[in-house]
Order: sequence, then C-alpha cells, then structure tokens
Amino acid sequence: MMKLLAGTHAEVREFLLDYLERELPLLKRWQFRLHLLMCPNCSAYLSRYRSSVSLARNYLDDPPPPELVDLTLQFLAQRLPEQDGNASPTP
Amino acid sequence: MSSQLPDDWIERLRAREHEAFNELVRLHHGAVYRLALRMLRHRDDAQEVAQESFLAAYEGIGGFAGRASLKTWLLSIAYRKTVDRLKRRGDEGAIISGVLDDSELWRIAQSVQNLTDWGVNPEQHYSRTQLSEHLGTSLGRLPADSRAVFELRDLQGLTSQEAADILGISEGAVRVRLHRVRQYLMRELQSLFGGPGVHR
Repeated sequence: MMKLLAGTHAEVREFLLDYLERELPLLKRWQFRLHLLMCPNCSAYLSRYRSSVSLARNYLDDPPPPELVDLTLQFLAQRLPEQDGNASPTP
Repeated sequence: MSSQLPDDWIERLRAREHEAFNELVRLHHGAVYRLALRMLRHRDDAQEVAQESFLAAYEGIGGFAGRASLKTWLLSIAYRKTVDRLKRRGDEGAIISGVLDDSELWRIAQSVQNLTDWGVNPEQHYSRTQLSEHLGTSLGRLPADSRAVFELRDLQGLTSQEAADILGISEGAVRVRLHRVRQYLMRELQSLFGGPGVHR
C-alpha cells in the first residue's frame, strides 16, 4: 500500500524540477517525498542532480574582465550622435 | 539593482541621454556578454555582440514598452544578435551527443548511491581549472539554445518566465530544456568522477 502511494521511479525523474522549484501540487509533493524515503536510488539521484547544478554554478560562473565595459563605452562614444549639453559616453 | 537607480532613468534613456546609457552598460554588460559568450564560445565575438546590442538598445529604446524589465529587454536584443551571428557563422551549435533515455537515467540512479557525492569536495579529485574545463567542454556539446537556457536560469538566476521572454519560447519549453541540460551535466560529471552505468 505504501509503495503504491509513493509513486514510481519514473515519476520522480519526470517531476524532479517541479519538486525542487516547489511547483508540485501538495499531494504529488507528498508522494514524491514518500518515494524518496523508501528508495535509496532515487534519493541518490536527487542528491546528484542538486550537486551537478551547484558544481556547474561554482565552476562555470566566470565574471567577464572589467575592461570590456570600458571598451563598450568607447565603442558607443564613437557611434552615438553628439548631444547638446550632454557628454558623450566615456569610460 | 535597478531599484537603486533614479526614477527618471527610463525617461532619460528614452530621451537618449548618453550618461543614462553609460549606466545601462555598466549595469548590464556582464549579463549580455555572458549570454553571448555562452552561446558563441568565442570571446571576441561575444564582446562584439555585446557592443552591437547596446547600440541597438540606444537606437530602439523608443520601442521599450516597459512590460518586461530593462535587463530582460536588453538580453532579448543580445539573444537575437547572437543567433544572427551563429547563423552567419553557419554554426547553430552541435547537437547533444546521445539524448539521455529513461533506462540510462535509471542506470545512473542505481549506480550513484554507493559513490561519494562529487558535490561534497570535488577539488579533492580535480583542480578548479580541470573542473571548469570539463564542464565548459561538456556544455559546449549542447545546442546553443540549450546553453542559453542554462546560462539564464542556472548561472544568471533569472526566472523561467524571464528566460522564456528573452528566448521567445514558452515557459514550459524553458523548463524542459533546463531539466535536460542538468541531467546531461549530471551524466558528464558521473563520467568524470567514475562509476558504472555511463556508456556513450
């Protein structure tokens, strides 16, 4: 009976994103949690899914070099029309 | 961030005041450049797209209706410019190498529970540079549109609705793509850190 209420492995994988973003309806959320309690595979899967996102954030999130902002301002300063009483874009 | 700007900022942009545009560049260059770089994977091209996007924003500010945020509007210009550039290059992104099917996902699920979680201390196994390179290369195998979804949602922290507005697709499509990219990265990390159940 508990197994029936807890939903399936496929449902866990299908609704993973909704679960993490708290967009599952209450009953589905409850079924999801029950399934995770009973299934070490799905529980490990969820943990890896979370870790993957966090790892990607840590290792892919490079801020661009600040000098690129200055280059963009210089680019615009050369192309925007001059304005009366208004300075052209400068870095 | 934009909440710290003066109330009349948008009006000053509409009046095409240069200093207001300077501020727009300082605030949003990073987001624009990163989206272009994630899709183009070429620094000079990404910087050129960023510059062209700000110029287009200056020319098109009269069409900014204010329904979306200024950042979303600007990123949608950058996205279109980036797609144009990809088309000119004849490169709209490589296709994902082998879409994950349900049986493969299940194999991963079965295999991970006995392994150390790679999220706990990944630099015990690989250097920061190695991890960045591996993840960057893996992401580079995905289509540019999928990389854009991942950049906007997971790296820049926009909502699915904002990403959908920028990319011109439905919110549901954003969520499906994001989920697939995350699953793909999970497989790539599984492959890097070892463990059964990963075959390509």
